[in-house]
Amino acid sequence: MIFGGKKGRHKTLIGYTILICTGCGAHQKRKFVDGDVIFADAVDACSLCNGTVRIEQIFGDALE
Amino acid sequence: MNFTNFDLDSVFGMGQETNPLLMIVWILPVILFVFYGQRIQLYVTSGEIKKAIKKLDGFKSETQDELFKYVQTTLNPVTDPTVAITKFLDYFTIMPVDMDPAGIVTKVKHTVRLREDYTRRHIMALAPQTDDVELSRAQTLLEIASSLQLIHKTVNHMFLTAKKQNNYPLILPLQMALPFIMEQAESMKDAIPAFRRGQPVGDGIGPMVVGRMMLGCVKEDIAMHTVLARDTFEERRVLLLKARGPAPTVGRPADALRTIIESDEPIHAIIMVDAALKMEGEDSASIAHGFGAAIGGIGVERFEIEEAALNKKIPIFSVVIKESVREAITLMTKDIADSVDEVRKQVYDMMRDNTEAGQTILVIGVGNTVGVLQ
Repeated sequence: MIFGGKKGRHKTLIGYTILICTGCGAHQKRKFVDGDVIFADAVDACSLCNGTVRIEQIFGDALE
Repeated sequence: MNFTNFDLDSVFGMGQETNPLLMIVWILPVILFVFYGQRIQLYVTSGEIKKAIKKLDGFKSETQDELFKYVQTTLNPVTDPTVAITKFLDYFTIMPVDMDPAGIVTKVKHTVRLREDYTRRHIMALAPQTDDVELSRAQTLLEIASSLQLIHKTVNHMFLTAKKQNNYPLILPLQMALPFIMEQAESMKDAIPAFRRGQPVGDGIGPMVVGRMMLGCVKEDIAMHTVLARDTFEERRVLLLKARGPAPTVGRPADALRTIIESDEPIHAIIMVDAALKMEGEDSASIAHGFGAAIGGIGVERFEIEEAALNKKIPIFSVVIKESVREAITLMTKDIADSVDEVRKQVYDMMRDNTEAGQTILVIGVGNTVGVLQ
């Protein structure tokens, strides 16, 4: 078969959340937790400057 | 055994002394394929399609289980929701007759809105204390489960009809379309976790770009599930429009545009930001520019936006982010999420290139805003 062969299986995506401190700009990446919403303020303050931390991105990365 | 005197002609009955038995061996398959060829092909193809139908049945059951589980655990219904939800799954929509197409868009809009509002009202009746976000999630899960049920039913019907009639040509269109149908169905099944957990999907890139542009601005509700914010950029007024997140909704941008136009707010350009299906060979998350209304769906919203823009002679520009079907409805990939800043920069460049100081630009973030606030 010209176009045959097994189709590549889709990778399982794991959700990650990127948080950025609006004060000092510190980045943090953690696993997605139910209730995380892009552009919402995180519950915990920044551990470095005690500033407000905003959820900047939520995305799926392939399971390693 | 001696193979040195092997005679090919005598084996195939082509020599001078033709063996009648070998002739029959040749002729029989020819006769068989002439009269029963299609039936044999039907049996071979049937195997593949049966496997696909079994897979579709699995997708259907899986999504329905997820839906029932979500309704039972999250919505806390006052009565047993099983019967009502099973009934919703079987609902169909009859599109208006198109023999006389004049005015068909308003009829389609009426029918589609009726279905949306009805489903919403009845889920609300099942669980009156449900908030808007949970209600929209249940409605989206219901739509996915209902679509998968319809796909399974349709494929099964086409297969059984061809089998019943022993008609191979009848099964050919199904065989050709099946890989695309399966890709769509598998993507829909895989979309369930993202919508259930409120994670952003690839289609949410438009609302994400505009949501970022709205940060720090005052937002107002302008249409159902749709918010508007006002900002300025290099002496231009910028109106930012997107669906109200984080519920899984696309909002009603056409209604919002009509409201803005009716309020005599002058608009000098419309820029629409949306996810678009990539062609094979194109890179995911690549950005392209164009003209015209970048908005999918059944066509009602696009028609109304085009109509409003034409009446006021407003140019429409589009910025699209290329994605596959799968990427559009499953958890947003990193490449797509990373493109936000670049898209935003290109939208500002577009404003600079196509408008002058003092003018007003409407930027619409088109797509499902699940998991994206503003």
